[in-house]
Amino acid sequence: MRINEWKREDDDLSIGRDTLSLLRREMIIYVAHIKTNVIRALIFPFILIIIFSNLGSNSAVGITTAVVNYANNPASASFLSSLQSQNTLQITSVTDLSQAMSMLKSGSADLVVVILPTFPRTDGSNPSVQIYHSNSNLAGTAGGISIIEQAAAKYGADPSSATGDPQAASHVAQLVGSNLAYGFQISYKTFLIGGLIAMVAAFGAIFGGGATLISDRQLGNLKAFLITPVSKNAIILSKILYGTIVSVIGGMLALGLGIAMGGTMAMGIAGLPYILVLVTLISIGFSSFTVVLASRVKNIEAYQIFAQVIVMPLWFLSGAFFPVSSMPAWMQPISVVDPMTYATTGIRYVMLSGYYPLQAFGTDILALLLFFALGFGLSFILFKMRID
Amino acid sequence: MAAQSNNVIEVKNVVKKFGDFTALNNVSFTIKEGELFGLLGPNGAGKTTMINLILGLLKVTSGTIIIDREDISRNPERIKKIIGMMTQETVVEPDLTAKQNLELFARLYGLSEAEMSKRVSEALKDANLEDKANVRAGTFSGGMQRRLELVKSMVNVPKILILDEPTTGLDVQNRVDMWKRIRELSKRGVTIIMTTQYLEEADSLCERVAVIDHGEVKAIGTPLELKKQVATKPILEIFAKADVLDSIAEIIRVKYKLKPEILGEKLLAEISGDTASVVSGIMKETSKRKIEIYSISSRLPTMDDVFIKLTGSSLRDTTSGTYESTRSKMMTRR
Ligand SMILES: Nc1ncnc2c1ncn2[C@@H]1O[C@H](COP(=O)(O)OP(=O)(O)OP(=O)(O)O)[C@@H](O)[C@H]1O
Ligand SMILES: [Mg+2]
Repeated sequence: MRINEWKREDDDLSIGRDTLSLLRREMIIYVAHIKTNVIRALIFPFILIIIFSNLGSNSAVGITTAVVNYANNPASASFLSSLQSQNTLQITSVTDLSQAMSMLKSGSADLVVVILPTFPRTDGSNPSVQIYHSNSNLAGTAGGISIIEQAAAKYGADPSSATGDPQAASHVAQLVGSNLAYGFQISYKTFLIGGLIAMVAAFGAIFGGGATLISDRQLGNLKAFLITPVSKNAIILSKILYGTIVSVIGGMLALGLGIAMGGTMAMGIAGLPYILVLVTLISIGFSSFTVVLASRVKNIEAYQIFAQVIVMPLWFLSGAFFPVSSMPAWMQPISVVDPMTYATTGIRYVMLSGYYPLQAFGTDILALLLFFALGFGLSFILFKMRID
Repeated sequence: MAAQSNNVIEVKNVVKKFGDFTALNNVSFTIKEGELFGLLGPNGAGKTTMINLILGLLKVTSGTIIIDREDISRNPERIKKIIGMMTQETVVEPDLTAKQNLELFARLYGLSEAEMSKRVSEALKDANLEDKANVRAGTFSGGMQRRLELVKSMVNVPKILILDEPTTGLDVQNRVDMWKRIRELSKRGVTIIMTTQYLEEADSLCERVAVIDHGEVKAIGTPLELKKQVATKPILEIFAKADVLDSIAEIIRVKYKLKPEILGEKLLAEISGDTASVVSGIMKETSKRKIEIYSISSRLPTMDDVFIKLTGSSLRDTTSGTYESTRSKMMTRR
């Protein structure tokens, strides 16, 4: 009886209501410090883009390249030998395109270079060198393509590249020559920006989710909340959501900055929803983990160290800076279980290749959903409410 | 209802340990409906710990706490709804306006939008902050922030109000204002439990006081009862250099048959007989012997005397002056 007389009509909704009330507070504080928040999200991507965005041509190592030479003229022979002299490219000569494409499909080649009969002339708008690459080693091909481009430039040919994803191969084959639809100039800058977006999201979670929980605890705000009938879960949920919002805003700001600084969005504006979904999923996951971490460490210093020790390696191992394929073999399996790998890869499909095959999309989303479910679920189990 | 008593809070044999450290040792007291009850004790006495136990933020190691006739562990949700609390740290949100601060808590208490706006505007009025409703609380003075805190703790119209050191850190003017506000709330019938390190605060404000030190309740009663417990007679107070106090004490013991106590540079003794002749007698005697004293006076017993008697040390000496904020300022606040 006594219990019931105090039951509010909206008790079932109260978690949602409380969460929103707490989230509203977080957002007011976020807006009050908007400058700091924006600068915090953008400063590192800005510096990294400036310093690293031109490193592309040197980052490729041992890229298997299948070359189909349809030109058979002195210029093409000399072009081929100039490719062979590049240490980073492992050249295999192949007689026809379908053989080359199946190598690409099976992964035994990272790149396919087709020298068309018109080489070294450019036939109208059609380039005389076509580059196909596999999305499975998108990262590794970045440098390779720019090497080929440089080599071809000497002959006046205008190479273009096109997506040669296993599923897309036949699709792309039709588009040979019309390099604008699927063809793109792969750039390390855009490659890097993809990794930076994931980084900003992860670091946003550190600052937004966990760190504010610690400051609330130290300043006594958490105690003030716990004195009210607010449920513990609403507090956890509001922190996770706030961390997620900070991360997603940060990720989108980083994307905008990247574009402003010369990055490309191959898929155009249509790619935005994909990036939003990828960033949101990775953000909720990270945010959940940082909130649990924050609930279990005493002070902000310990939290920062723990959080960075966890996030930094995940970031590097995700292929944010360097292609996963260029990492030592023993390290590569780690990137498979690294949730950031999937966000980074996904963002690159959207920004670099402009085509996000359903299977790849499914894999990325599934991996990120798993990460989200794990983090989100565990956060409610492992969260430790303390006021000191 | 069963046994009718008008006790709103009953604390029985409460022990609280943090690891090996006993923060509260067998604490018991009861608070009646409508009472203004004080927990008086120096830094680290265990006052906040006691409050946190009542709020259910900590769990007792042993003992029971009954609030509104129900063990707090039975139905913490209900208890939370009838308690309002002002924490020791001022925790107004500096980035929220006065109004937003109040609204946040009104919502967390589950008030409807209509109720909320009514209570919030009443609260702003009570705090004399109507014209600052939409100003960020971070720009407020310490006194204004505390006032906002006080009305915030009343936003759910609680039956019981807990104030943890409500005046610590305030200047005299704001302290007097806070006292007035607390008295008003008490008159409205709210049961108030407040902690304080200030004797004069407990003395002038509280109807009953529990003196707490090192986690133990040393005495409970009205300020008057406690003072009577120490002495019904006036108290002689002499200040002098510590090394001459012994000889003064000797005079007092031999000549006037009093029982002096020495605390640093202070000597205290209950006066029996005619106060004026005792004081003038001692003055004559000391000047004859060329013993230099700073001051000599007689007065009625104060809470400080109570405290000295109960704990063997002067609360005033240990806590006077500086209040150091325990709040850790953060470098990386958003
Ligand atoms: N979570 C905790 N873990 C260990 N010791 C604690 C904890 N909380 C309080 N203490 C210790 O318990 C004792 C009582 O602390 P408490 O905060 O209750 O004192 P207080 O009377 O409120 O003092 P103050 O006037 O400084 O606020 C102190 O010695 C303190 O160090
Ligand atoms: Mg305290």
